[in-house]
Amino acid sequence: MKLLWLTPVHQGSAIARYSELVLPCLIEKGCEVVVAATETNFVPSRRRPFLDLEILSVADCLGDGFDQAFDAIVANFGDHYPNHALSLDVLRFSRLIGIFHDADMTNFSNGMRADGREALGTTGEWPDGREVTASIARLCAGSVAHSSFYRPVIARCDGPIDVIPLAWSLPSGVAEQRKLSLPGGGGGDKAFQVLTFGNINWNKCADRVIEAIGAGPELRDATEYKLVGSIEPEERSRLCGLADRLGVRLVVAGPVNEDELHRAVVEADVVSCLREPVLEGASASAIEAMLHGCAVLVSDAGFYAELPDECVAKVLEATDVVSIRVALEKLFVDPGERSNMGRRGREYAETVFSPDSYADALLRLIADVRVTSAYDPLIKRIASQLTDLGLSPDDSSIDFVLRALESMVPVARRASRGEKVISLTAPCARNAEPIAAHAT
Amino acid sequence: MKVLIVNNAVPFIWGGAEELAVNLDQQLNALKGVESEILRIPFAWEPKERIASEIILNRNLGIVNADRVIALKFPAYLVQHDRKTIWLLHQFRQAYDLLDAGRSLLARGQDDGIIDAVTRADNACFDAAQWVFANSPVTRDRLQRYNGRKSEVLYPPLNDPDLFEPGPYGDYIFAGGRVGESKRQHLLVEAARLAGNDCRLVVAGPPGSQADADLLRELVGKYGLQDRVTLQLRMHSRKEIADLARHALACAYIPFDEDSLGYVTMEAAASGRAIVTTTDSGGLLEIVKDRKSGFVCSPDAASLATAFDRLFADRALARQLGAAARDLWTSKKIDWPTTLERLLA
Amino acid sequence: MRVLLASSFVPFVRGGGRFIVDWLERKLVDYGHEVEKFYLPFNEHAASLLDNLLSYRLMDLSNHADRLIAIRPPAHSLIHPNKVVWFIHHIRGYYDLADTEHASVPSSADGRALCAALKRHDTMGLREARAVFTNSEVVRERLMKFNGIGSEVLYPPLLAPDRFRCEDANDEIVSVCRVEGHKRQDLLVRAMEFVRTPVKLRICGASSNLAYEKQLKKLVEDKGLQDKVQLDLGWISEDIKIEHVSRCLASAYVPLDEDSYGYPTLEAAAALKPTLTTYDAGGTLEFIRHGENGLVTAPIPRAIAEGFDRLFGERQKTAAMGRAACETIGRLNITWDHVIDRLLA
Repeated sequence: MKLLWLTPVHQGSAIARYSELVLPCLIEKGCEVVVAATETNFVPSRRRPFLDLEILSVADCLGDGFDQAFDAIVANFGDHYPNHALSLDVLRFSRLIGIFHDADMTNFSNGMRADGREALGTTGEWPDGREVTASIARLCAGSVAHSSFYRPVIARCDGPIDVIPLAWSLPSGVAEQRKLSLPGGGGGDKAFQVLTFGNINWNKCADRVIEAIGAGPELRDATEYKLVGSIEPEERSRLCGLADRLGVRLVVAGPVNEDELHRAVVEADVVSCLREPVLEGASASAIEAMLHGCAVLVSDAGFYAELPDECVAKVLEATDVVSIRVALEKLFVDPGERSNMGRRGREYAETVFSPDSYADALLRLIADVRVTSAYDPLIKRIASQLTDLGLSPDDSSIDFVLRALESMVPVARRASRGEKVISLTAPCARNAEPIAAHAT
Repeated sequence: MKVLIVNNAVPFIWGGAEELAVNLDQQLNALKGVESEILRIPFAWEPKERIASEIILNRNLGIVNADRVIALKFPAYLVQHDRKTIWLLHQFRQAYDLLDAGRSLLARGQDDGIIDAVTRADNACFDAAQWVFANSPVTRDRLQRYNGRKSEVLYPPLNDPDLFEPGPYGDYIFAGGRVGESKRQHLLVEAARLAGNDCRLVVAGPPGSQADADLLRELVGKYGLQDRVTLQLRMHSRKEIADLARHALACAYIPFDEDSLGYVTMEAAASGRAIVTTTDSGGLLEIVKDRKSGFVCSPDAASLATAFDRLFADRALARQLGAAARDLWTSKKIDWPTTLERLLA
Repeated sequence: MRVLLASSFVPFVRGGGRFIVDWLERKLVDYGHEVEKFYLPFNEHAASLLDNLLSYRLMDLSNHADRLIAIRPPAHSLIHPNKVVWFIHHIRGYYDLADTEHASVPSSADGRALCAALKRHDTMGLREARAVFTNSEVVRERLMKFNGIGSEVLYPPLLAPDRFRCEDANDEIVSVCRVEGHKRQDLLVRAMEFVRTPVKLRICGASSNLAYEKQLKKLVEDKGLQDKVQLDLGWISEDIKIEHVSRCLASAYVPLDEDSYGYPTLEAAAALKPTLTTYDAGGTLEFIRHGENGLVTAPIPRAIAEGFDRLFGERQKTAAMGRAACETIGRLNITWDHVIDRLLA
């Protein structure tokens, strides 16, 4: 089976790294894979290795008959427009599977608009938030989400959908050192290390963590809070000012390379992955921390809520300083529990987020999409025949026909507004729940 | 030329249409240069919601390797083919005349969707069919009335006309055909009772049910008609039927409002026998003209008895009417060669 | 038991696929069951494949019989609570022949997707069955390999094996089957150039391939084999066929990679005659074991010629192999007792 895989490929892109993890598994399972870069400004020298596969530009792949050359096309979508813009160029092709890394794609939508693209929504208006994601999913033949909480969003896709836990693993050769559990934190020579990494912005709730640490003497005296990753100057001065006022030890490391990042995670006692709101489909950061065997502090929402309670430390309200402090204190006083939690987290992460399982699940979805695509002409014909017979979408006479069709391929009955038109679209295997207007 | 005959089938049920298809198949295969085969498509119309899916089913079946299709009934005639002839035996009457008569499993209002679907499917089908024939004027008229489509009447012929050569005129009235309430043989028995002493009646045919047979036997017993009326209530071979018809004085056939000519009628006419029938018998009045090729009586025993008496009293009349019946019959050219020629035109 | 027999057909094409259905119908009736047989149309071209499958899925046969026996694909798509499948072959243009010149689909993503759809559909239909049988090991293996479905081999018997007698052997190797390139009668003819004994060859069979017929005739002429090779090309009656087989020295059947052992092998065995086949003939090797009940040679004229000579030169051994061939029928359970027992279990 021949696949075309559209993805960002540059170093520093988490999705590029994810693709690099999944593709070898697909190849090992017998697929032939062609990779195309979706960055608007794709620079070959900035690419990840990708097994030394040739990386084409999306434009190169869109020649005559290209959709017959590939058994399926997989396009990765994320909120960052410059990284994923070119994925839009393959929408509407049969057997196109959209993988949605972010539940909320407001920034992507803004990027589309600024770039002069046409709105995708049916009303001609510019959607935002999860509506963007849904409107793109609607144009795919199959869709993937990485957590259940935004399944209703991708369920707007007419085709097969699936929730597949994000594929993520540590690079081979990274020594995941076991956490050295030292008693307590305060008074010893080793500080209680709390770490937040990634793009440090307001969404990461670093200010709340600082406030929580500074709320009481034990934590404040024992803790060093480290921020690793790119950070805007304003945000840096805001956080440093706050830490100073509260007497919290804050280290802002700025952007680092992957080795330095791994070292920081290994040294951390707790990784804070608090988010407010949860925008991403799944958190590579949280998974990364779990794979290191580190205790992870998370918001009890979105992707994080779906993690088992015993594998991570959940904070009910990500913006509630008291809740954060209570959670941190629990972890601070019990290094044994920290260590156990970290171990449980790692076992869970190694199994559930395994790229091999991801590839298996994705291949099942691709198989469903291929089978479904073969039925498209028939479904259109039957819909047309039923319409010609004057049958309305809610006429029980259609049931026998639908049942027979459903025994071959899952089908949903849908009437277009205001007309007695039966548009059988295939397939929508699970009930499509209406999506929330905005994520709150 | 490869001709595919297309018909419905209900598993384990075999009736007139199935017989016709078999005979058509045999006749076609006997033609030089023609090969024929029968396709039977399972049909289920209950629950009524199934009807729309049966329409879809037949529309989407793939017919290959046939030069011509001859289709007989709904919904089998919906199969797609460039060169399709419909020899209409049956529409789905539940959506048409039976609906109007209040005798349908469908009801206006709640089943409008189904009724509409059948009508639309039929209309599109008859529009697209190359040739449309109807097996009787009644069928033709229904098709015109409900679907606005003209068609030509093409009666299914006798399958074995050679058996029905006229013989010497005997001394009994022969009443053939299936014995049952709608065929009203009991009325003929009553007529025999009222008729004169010469009158003899032979009723021969399979009873629809035990009750039908009992009714006739009771009548004969009750009125002591054993000398006048012979009851042979069973299946007969074709030769037996032919012998009974061709040696009768005349034949009697009085079904209630039958669509078509009726094989009994055709057999009687082919055998050169006058036919006694009633005003409300339906399609056979095409062949039976009062006092020309038989008698058309009012549907009561007395009127029928009068006709019987006239025939027994005036054997020359019986012969004359019988010959006329045969002439009228042959003039209609309801025979297989003509029929096949029309079907394959 | 009330049994529905359903199979697909191409109108006006009669052959092996129909014998198994027609004979099973007759035998089921002999064994006291009520049978209704349906031959359903099927257009396997890519453009209409799925439409036709939908029609099959729409057919309502569930209430009509105790059991449904489905034979030629896509009959196994039919829905019935007691469905038994006697699977005789895949629609191979969508399976292992999909990327050859016999493909039913273009070599494209759409084509491959259609193959995937059919595979999934077939698998689903087969999984619904309460039992799946195949007509040979070859097909059983393919069913497992392509669809992951386990099945039991159930060999199709002859309708009337008793009609084949064993007469004293003459000098002829006989080949009775359809005359076409796939059956490779030309190999047999070529072999006759190299025989050293007075053995003769008789080729019987009807053909739809005029070019191949011509090729065979030309072969005989060019090689001067008129005295050794008899070409009886055209339809022969069952009686004449039985005569030839009953009197022959041995039968020869050398198709290329066929699915099953073929009726010719069985007919010869019923007449207590051995069959010569080649090692690339496919299903024949499930019946014929070299030196025991027949000969298996390389598919080249000289090797076949050696086989012919051996059959001629060692008459006693040939007769013994013939008897063993007949015993094979029982050993492999190629009997109606067994077949009906398994299908209705």
